[in-house]
Parts: sequence; structure tokens; C-alpha cells
Amino acid sequence: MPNEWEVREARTFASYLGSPSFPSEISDRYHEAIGDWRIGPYDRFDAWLVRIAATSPALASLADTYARFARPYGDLRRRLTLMLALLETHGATHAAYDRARPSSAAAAWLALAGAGTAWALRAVLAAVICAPAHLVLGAKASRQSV
Amino acid sequence: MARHLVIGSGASGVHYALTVLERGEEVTLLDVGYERPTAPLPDATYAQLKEQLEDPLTAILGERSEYVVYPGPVSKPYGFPPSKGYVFRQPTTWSLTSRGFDPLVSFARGGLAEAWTGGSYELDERDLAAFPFSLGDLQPHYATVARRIGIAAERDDLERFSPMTADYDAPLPLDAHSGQLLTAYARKRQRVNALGVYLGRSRVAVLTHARGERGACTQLGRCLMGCPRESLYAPSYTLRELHRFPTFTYVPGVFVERILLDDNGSATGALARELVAGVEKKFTGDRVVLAAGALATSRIYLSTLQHENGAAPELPGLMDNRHVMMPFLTPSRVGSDVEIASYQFHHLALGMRGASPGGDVHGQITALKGAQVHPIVSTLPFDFRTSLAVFGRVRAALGIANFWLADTRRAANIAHLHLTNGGRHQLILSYGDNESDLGRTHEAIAAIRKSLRIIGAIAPKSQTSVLPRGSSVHYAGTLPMTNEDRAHTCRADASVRGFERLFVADGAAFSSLPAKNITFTLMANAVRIAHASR
Repeated sequence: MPNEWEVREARTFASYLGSPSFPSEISDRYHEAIGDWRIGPYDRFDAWLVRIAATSPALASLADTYARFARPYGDLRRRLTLMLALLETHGATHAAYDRARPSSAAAAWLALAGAGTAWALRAVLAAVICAPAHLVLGAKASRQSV
Repeated sequence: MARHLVIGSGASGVHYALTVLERGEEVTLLDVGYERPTAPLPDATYAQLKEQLEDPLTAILGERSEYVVYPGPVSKPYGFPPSKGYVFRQPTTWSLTSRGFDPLVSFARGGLAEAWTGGSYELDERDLAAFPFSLGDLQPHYATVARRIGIAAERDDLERFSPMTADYDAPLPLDAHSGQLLTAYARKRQRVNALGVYLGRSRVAVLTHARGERGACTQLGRCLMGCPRESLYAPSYTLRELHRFPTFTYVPGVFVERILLDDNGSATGALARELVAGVEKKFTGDRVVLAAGALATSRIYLSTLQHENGAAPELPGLMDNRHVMMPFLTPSRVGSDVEIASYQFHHLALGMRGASPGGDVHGQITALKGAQVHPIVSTLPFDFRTSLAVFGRVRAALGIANFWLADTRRAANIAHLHLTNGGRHQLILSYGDNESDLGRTHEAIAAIRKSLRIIGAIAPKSQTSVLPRGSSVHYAGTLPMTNEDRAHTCRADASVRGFERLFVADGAAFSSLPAKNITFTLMANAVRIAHASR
């Protein structure tokens, strides 16, 4: 059985990925799969990213934005990929993912521009918050190749 | 009545067997033969499957979610689901290592073509330049195979690369994105053709009307999982058909170790190991036909020589199509809707002539419709939430052009055998690119990217990947057909030189590897060989 912190992580990640409510089966499968992984966090920074991301969807967004460039194949990105795979596959949650978001072309491009701008601002904020931790906790990564 | 001992139930083996059974001869087919699982809810769309299955997570991601596609340095936009696990399962008796080559092998009933996306293209004279027979010798057999499996196709610009001599069915309904690209091509054909690139409908082994036990495609969007209506052809359907012949014997669960020879070097049968009991068993036949797939066939051949002579040679000439994957976006489709339940695979194909047959390119273009989201979203250059928002808006605009380059036999690309400490035979493959390979690949990438741009699609350079050798799954050339009297080659009738009554019916006997998908030709060639064995 996952502990309270692990349940919170699953809930936060699912909420961040657009499914604030989901069956407990998804949480169980999420932790089962992670338990089977033969690779864990690469270093203390990798583990830190997961820890702060699990705190709230907003922090998950910042940590993920930074991880996309600093740890694209790291623990956090793998956990989010797993959660997304479970959400898009389960009957109770798949509908949010198995679709396009049709609109007029102008509205679509406007939405893309908005998403891009928000992402750029978030990337700056993520760098301010995560880069110092990266320097301190991820020193191992600068000495060894990932 | 001739008794044929066929090894392997892939595309070549089953069509060879069907041809000789139809003329009343006897066939014993030896096979490891891992079975395709029964598809649940055969009339449900992919989305309905998720809602109606008791446990969709296990059905689609595996019992321990082991089929999730995680981000990595070599990312793939899709992953095979558990229902395709049988295609890639390997017996413990099989051992392979490789350098510069990353192959897939199959021991499934139906072989690797169980995971085929159905591309069916007749070869032309140019493709067969290195083969010891003419196009006229092969063409009637394309007609036989097309009649057996059903191929949806349309006459268009691609006929200049691939003739249409067989009877084809009506093409599948075109999806909106593919239709838009084809319309743009019709308007701007001259500019695209000036780059040497031609576009048309892909020819696919998919039924557009019911045929026997197989139903017509109803656009369930479950192509990758394995079509539950059997509209998309797989050789296991032909294997099922073989059981209707009283002179057919199917022996699954055996791994063929080597060919049995008499004192004169004539093939008399095969020595196989039962996978469950582990005991060796002998099978006999008047003709022994290797159809286990180019790699497994090479291993059986080399093991035979190792046993007979105490040493096995290196087999030069291993071939594989260079495979390039080029994702693209059609900006004018941003914001459009997409039909999730639809035929998942390619609707369009492309051809490009090189300076020589070895420089030819063949491709298939797939517009994204129903697909797993996580393998795609995890590769977008944003955080997941932004990527999901972007993906929702651009989903109807995304597509992938997969294309392959022809290959020729080269002495440095070899298959050989290694005897392990445990006394097992391990197949070793070694493959190296040369400079001209890379030059041709980059020329093709540039021309196809430019062609896509002309018809309104953008293919970012950073997203294009040249996949490792072996990923095309088209392996060939280790025991080539040739008129030259050399050891470890086959005659035009696919009989192996130096042995009597031993034949190679699969890709191992190909003299060169055209850019076009070879599965249709493997089947037609197996029928040709079966006719020649009269």
C-alpha cells in the first residue's frame, strides 16, 4: 500500500496533468510501476525535483519546466510520463486526452501564443527557483555524464 | 506426392505452403509459433475499449505498466501494446548479438509480418536488376498474393515506381489531413516532382470489403493493437487457411537447430528441439524450405555447416533498409478536429529515384489520428501541461513521414556463428555504414523535407531521426540468389548451391534490398519458388 506522501504525489501529478479526480486504481498502478523500476533518481537534484513537484500542481509545473531541459530523461519526467499513460488509458479519465481541441484557426493560434508566453515566463521563474538547487545538489551531474 | 518440410510460418512460409498444398502436395510446417491472443470486444473502437474493458490498464499498458513508453535519447512516438508481445517473444534457445545493427526477430505464428503496417508495393525491373530472374517471372505471383490477402490501392503517380499488375481493391477512405496533403500535391506536383519526389496513396493489405472470415475495415482505430476484425492482413490468417488441407501438418513449439543431410549433401529433414520438453526430434521431407526469416534462416544454415564441417563461414551481404522518421506539422490544420476512431496507419506514400537503384527511396506518410498521447507529449519541448495544451490544438496537424533507402550487399556486413561455452549457437551480426549511405540519406532527407514544405507541411530538422540499422525490420541478403556459381548462394529457383533439395524462401535469398517494403514481394517470391519446385 502506498503511504500518505506517495498518495499525495500521485494526486498532485494527476491534477497537474488535468485529472484532479481519478480512481484509486491509477494511484495503485502508479506506485506498483515505480516499485518495479530498476533505475531511481540520478542524483540528489533529481530526487529534489520529484519532491518539490509532488507538493502542489503549481510547483509540479515549475519543476517539470526546468526538468524538461535539465533532466529530460530523469525521475520526474519518467514519473509524469507514467501518470499520463495511466490517465489516458483508464476508462474514467481517458476522454480528456483522446481528443483534439477544435476551434477556429485564429483562436487556436492565439491559444498557442498564450501557452507559449506563459511557458516562457514559467521557464524564467523555474530557472530562478531550480538553478541554485541544481548547482548545489546536482554537482555530481557536472562531473559525470548523465 | 512431394513432401515439403517448411521451417517458419511467416509471410514467405505460409504462401509457399499454400501454393504447394493447392496442387495437392504434402506440407509439414515447423514453427516456434507463439500465438496471437484473442482480441477482446471485436467491434469496440479504441476509446470504447478503454471504457468497456474490465481492466484497460493491463490490456493496453501491461500488468505492471511495462508497456509505457518513457522519454529517452532515442524516443519513439508509439509503443507496441501487450497484445503484440507474442510477435517479439523469443525462446531461450535463440541467441543473437550484433554490432551496428539493432534487429527485431519474431517466433510468432505469422512471424514479423504480424506487426506489419500493410504496405504492399510491386517491385519494378530496376528493383530486380541484381536478381537472377525477370519481373515477368514474379508478376503473376503478385496477382496470386493480392487475391489471397486483399490490397487496397489506387492508380496514381506512384505507378512510375511500382507497377500495378495485380487486382487491387478500392482504396480506404482518406482521412482529412492526408486528403489535404494530396490535394496540395496535385496543385504543386511539378515543384515536388522537380525534386525527384512523387506522392500517391499508400497501397495497404487492408480489406475494404469482407473476405471469408475477415471483415472489412470499420475504422476502429485499433490497428496497432492488432485488428480485431482481421481487416489488416497478417500471415497467421493464411496459416489458419492451411489447416483446411488434409495434407497439412503444423508442428508448433519446436526450434529448428539444423538441417539434416545425407552422405551426398542432400537435405532430408530438420533436427528440432521441442521447447517444452527440451528433447530433440527429427522431421523429414523431400524438400526442405527455409522460411524462418533472414536472420533465423542464416542461423539454421550456419549451424548446419558447423555441424557438418566443424566450422561455419561468415555470410557476407547482410542488408537492411536505412530508416528515417520525419515528424511534421501542417500549420493550416492547427485548430482542426480529428477523427480518433479511424484507420491508424499510413494513407499516403512517396517515391524518389536515386542515381542508381541503390539510391532509391520509398516512404509512407501517416497523419496522426488515434494514438497514445504520452509517447508524443513527453517529447515536445515544454513541460507536460503546456505540451498537452499545445498537443490538443495541433493534434490534427501532426504527421510522420517514415522513409527507407534501398540497400545493396556489401562484404563487410556479415552474419556468422559463435559457439558459446555452453555449446549454444549464437548468431552474430555486424553492420557498418559507408560514406555513400550517409550522403544519400541526407540528400533524401533534404528533398523530402522540401517536398513537405511545398505541400504545406513543416518538418523541423531537430525532430528528424535516422534510426539505427535494423529498425526497418527488412533483413536480407545472406544467401542471395545469383547466377554466379558461388558457395553460400542460391540459384534462381532458390535452391541452395552445394546442397540438394534445400531451398530458401525468405529474404535471406534476396539479391538486393529495394527501398519498397518487401513483405508483398516476399510472399510473391515464395509463390514463385513453390511453382518452380514442381
